[in-house]
Amino acid sequence: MATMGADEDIDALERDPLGFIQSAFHRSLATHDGSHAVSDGDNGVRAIVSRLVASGRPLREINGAGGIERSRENELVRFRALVQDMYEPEYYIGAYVREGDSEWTTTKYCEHIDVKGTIAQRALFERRVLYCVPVPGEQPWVGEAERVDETADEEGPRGEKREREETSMDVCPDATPAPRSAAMLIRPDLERTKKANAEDHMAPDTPEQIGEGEAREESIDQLLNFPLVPETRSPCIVKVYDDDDSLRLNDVVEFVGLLYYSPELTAAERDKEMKDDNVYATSSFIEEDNSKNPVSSLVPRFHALAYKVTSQNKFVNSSPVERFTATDLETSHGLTPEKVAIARGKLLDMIANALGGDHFAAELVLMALVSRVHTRTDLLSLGKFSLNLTGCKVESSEAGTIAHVLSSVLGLVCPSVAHLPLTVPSLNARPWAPRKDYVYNRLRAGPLQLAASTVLLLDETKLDSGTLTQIGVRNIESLKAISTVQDVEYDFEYHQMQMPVDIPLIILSDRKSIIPTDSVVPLRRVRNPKLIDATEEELTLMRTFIAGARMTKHVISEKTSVEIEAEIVEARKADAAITQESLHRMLTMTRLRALNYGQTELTTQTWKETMEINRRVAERARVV
Amino acid sequence: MEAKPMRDLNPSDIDKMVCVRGMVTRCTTIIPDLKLAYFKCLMCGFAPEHIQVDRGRVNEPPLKCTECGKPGTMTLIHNLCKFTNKQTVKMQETPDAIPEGETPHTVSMCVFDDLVDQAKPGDRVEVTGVYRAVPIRLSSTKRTLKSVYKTYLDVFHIRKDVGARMRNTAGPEDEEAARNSAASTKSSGPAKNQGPGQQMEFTPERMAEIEELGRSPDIYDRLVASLAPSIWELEDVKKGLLCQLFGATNKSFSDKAANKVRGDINILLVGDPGVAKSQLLTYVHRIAPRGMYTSGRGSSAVGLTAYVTRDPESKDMVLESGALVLSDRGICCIDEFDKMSDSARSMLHEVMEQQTVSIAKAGIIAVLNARTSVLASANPVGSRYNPNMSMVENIQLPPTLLSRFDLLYLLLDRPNPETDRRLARHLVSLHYKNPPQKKRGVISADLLTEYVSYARANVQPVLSDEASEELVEGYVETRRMGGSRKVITATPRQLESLIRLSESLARMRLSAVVDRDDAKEALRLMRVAMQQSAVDPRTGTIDMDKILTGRSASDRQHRRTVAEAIRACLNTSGSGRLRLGELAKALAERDNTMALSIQEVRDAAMLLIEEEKCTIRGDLVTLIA
Repeated sequence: MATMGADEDIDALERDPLGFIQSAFHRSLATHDGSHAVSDGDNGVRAIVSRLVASGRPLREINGAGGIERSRENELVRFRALVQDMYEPEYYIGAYVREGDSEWTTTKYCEHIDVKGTIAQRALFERRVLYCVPVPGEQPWVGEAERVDETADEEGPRGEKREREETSMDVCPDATPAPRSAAMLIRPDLERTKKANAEDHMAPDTPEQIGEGEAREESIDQLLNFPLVPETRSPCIVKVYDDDDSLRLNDVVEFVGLLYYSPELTAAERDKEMKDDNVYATSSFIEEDNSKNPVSSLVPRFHALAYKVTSQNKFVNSSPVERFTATDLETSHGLTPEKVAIARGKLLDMIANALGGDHFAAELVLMALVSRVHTRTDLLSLGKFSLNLTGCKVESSEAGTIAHVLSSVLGLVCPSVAHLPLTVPSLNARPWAPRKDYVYNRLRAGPLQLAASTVLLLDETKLDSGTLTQIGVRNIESLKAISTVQDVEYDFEYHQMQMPVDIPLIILSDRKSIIPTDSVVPLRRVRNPKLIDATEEELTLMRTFIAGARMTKHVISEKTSVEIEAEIVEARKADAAITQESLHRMLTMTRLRALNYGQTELTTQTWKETMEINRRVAERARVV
Repeated sequence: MEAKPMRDLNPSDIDKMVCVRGMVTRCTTIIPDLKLAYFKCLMCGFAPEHIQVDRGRVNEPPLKCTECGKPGTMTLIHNLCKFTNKQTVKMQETPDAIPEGETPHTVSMCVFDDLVDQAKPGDRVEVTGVYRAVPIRLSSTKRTLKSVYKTYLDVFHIRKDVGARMRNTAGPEDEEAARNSAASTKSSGPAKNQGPGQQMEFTPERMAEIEELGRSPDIYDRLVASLAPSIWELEDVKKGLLCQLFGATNKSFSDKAANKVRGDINILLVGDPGVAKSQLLTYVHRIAPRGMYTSGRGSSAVGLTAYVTRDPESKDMVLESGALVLSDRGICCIDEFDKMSDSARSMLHEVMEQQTVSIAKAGIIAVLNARTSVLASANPVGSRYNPNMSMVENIQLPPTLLSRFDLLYLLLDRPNPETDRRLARHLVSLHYKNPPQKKRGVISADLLTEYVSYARANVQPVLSDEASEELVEGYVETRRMGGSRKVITATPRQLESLIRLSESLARMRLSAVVDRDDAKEALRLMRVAMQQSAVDPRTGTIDMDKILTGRSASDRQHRRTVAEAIRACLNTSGSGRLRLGELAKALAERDNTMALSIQEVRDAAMLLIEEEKCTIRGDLVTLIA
């Protein structure tokens, strides 16, 4: 591939992805001519796509409202999502030769193939299928800046692009998806579709369906399987073509590829089709087949040409180019000390106002916000910091409860926030941790299936006495595990699976929370919570600051290390009750405090300040 | 045939015979599947022989009747067709085969005839069959191919895995026991980290690797370093835990009295809060090829042993196994041992020495095997260890139970500048050096588990003459230590423990013979553990009586002198009777070291009562003339 002009390839890919894939396939066939027939190789496509992204050309992102409807057929788009479930690998005809033809044609990255004539020869390939949902709790502003660029860009070359598209039809007539009336798809409001489909699903309209009896229908919520409801954005079934095993459950991944969805196909039609193919082996698990092949108007299909595992913080403080080229997850925000001071000051002000004017507590909230598990040993998760603010019960206030105000403040600055009320009914309602549903053979999402760095805000102020069911007790156990070891136990019925998570946890409660946390701080309110405004620039600055502080690599010099060791020895001498756990906590807090000030290196000064914070926390706890 | 990981199935396996292992998650009902089709012509009544149906398709579609030649008259006569039983089964990867951070793969299987209902959800099975793929057509009317294939296995053999991942220390004995117990118990589902079964052999490479590891000269140190590497120091405790993991051989004297000597080592960890006791327990539980983890606070006696319930399906009474029975041949970790109710704790007496659980309830009388090592952790009374009190006073556990622990470790958190400095360095490096530097030669957790399993299954060490000599000498030595002061420093139970420890130490080296060094190390481990726990705080000497009776010899001595003083007081009092309060006052007057509480006076007086030298009624002590 190196012999080809790089720019030429990129242009070709951008103009007509499927046509380019076809020609890349032919090229690679020609290079190892005759040695072996067809291989399930990547044909250099992934490299070119990465180069395309790296070249800085704008690619449409389909995450935003209406993103899916606006995307055109055979257009490279970007999609960022959380890997919610991993389905079985799929075997498909990856390449075929038509009767009377001698050329192989590939069907990679296509949802359907439309073969004119019969197939003489076929090759079976394998691809991975992932169920991806938009990052749970993601704030609407994430990726906004990149979207604005695109809409501006859209006006000019659109007509031109469409022309190209039409001409491209000739290049690979077989590989183009089933023709649709308009190149531009009009996607009906997802809500409406959902409702319509829900009704569709509810009513067992055909007698056959009743006769089968066993085929239980999933509710629409179950079908879409979002960790956090309500959710208006659309999930996707993503098909990945290389056998790289780097993708993990709950990874935030940025995909670049092709989107397929047909709004006209309804569930009834799908059911009819499913019945048609009375396939010998599949007929037994109707629920699973239905559930895993929803209509594409509800769950579009996405064929990934390239992808990159990333962190949601990166969508705040780096460009798409950097995201695809940077290899290390750890970066720094690159803000000047003055900028950091501004961002920090404003942020503290906003949080303190939300907390009713308690600046000290705001400081600790800020520490929790930038926490991240940086090292995991077999039993410890270092870097996590969970916080419990007590005395958060507010009777009435025009701005709402502390939880509401704080969650909107956090929503303005953190890429994603999950705000969950902790009450007896909500705990008993459903398992919060994901569990395997063997009827549908899917991983049922729970509100605790969150991407790394999603701030979990638990509102315990409304917790009344009541009886927890078995589900409720389990949920409490899950929350405890998050708070203490940053692990969530997934229930696979026959066995449990520990999933490492990284969820900064903030609990607002009246008294000390039922969930143990690293730090418990009684709140000292001087006024009612209120939400104060921030300008767009300030918001951007604060977002960059938080995202950067989270991902900063933090170091310690040999000298400071010795000093702090001495400090620890002193502390132990003074108070024998200081355990290893509390020392871990203090080191973590020191680290977070340093990050809070934009420092990348730990100093003895910060250690001393942290000890002072700890002392003040202890003092407050005594007084209240 | 070599079992293939389910993950490694790929298109090249299609239509080939494969063998995969997994866990059954779902079964359909039995479906009659058409095997031989019977067609009849509606016009002339001609009926050809049964026609074979292969995977849902008739090979020769009888489009027209061969007799009368009319097209489209052949009809399928259902009740003359031949059907077989068919069932579709879903199988999922076993938990240990799933790479971290991924969801388990599943595979569909078609089973026929006698294989139907062989496997039930929850079973771990190994199946052999042909891997098939059939295309899914988006629509039969459209030519559009969705181009996707569905895969399944046409199964012709199912082998159920039974047993656990832990290789047995006594194979034949266990099989026999399994036969006995299988009849009486119905285990409540597979234990949590029960593996794919003892049939699973180690691959030759793995075996070579393990044996190679066993030959390395520093294996003992490497094992210690590999056990809970993030837990700091506590080397001797880790050594003790290793001994427990490896275990000793079970000895049974089958010919004469059918007597068994347990080979399982029990350990109790007592210590201040926050000294990583629970972490050690969790770690051992994770490493142990088989084991259960319970918390004392939440465990009831029946939860630990067995309980009788009504089976929801059959409505029969069934015995459900508790944690101890489920960890048979494994390790049962009990956290918060001190917070356990007394009734639950008393169940442990039988388990820890006889290694059985006897049940007599709801018409079911059974003795279940519970050959488990117990690893318990407890907090001292008043949550912090009081160095001025003895171990027994600190933990308030019945001495009968304490004596059943081979090793008792005290994990104290005492500020000490030297260890604190090392702790500080450890912590700082953990937080800032990325990744935390690992000690050289650390064995991964998986390999450690396999190593333990392998050693338990294949190495049955025997005491060599010099080792037994060493042990006997050491035992006599410790016993003699207290000889002059009439305190017991070692009991036959300690000798048994010593043998167990030295055997497990030999096992760590994969050695079939226990040599002198093992015996020495066992003695050392025992002494370290005893030093911490059985030391009398008043005299600083080891006193096994402390653990056996809860009272040290010096205590008893003291009580004796008080009793004598009481007797003297009563003698001098004239009437020969005194109230306890008066006695206490009198004692204090006699000798100012004897300022005692009324309770202590009563205690001492009890000694006289035992000797029938006086009586007590209410609080009035009367001297018998």
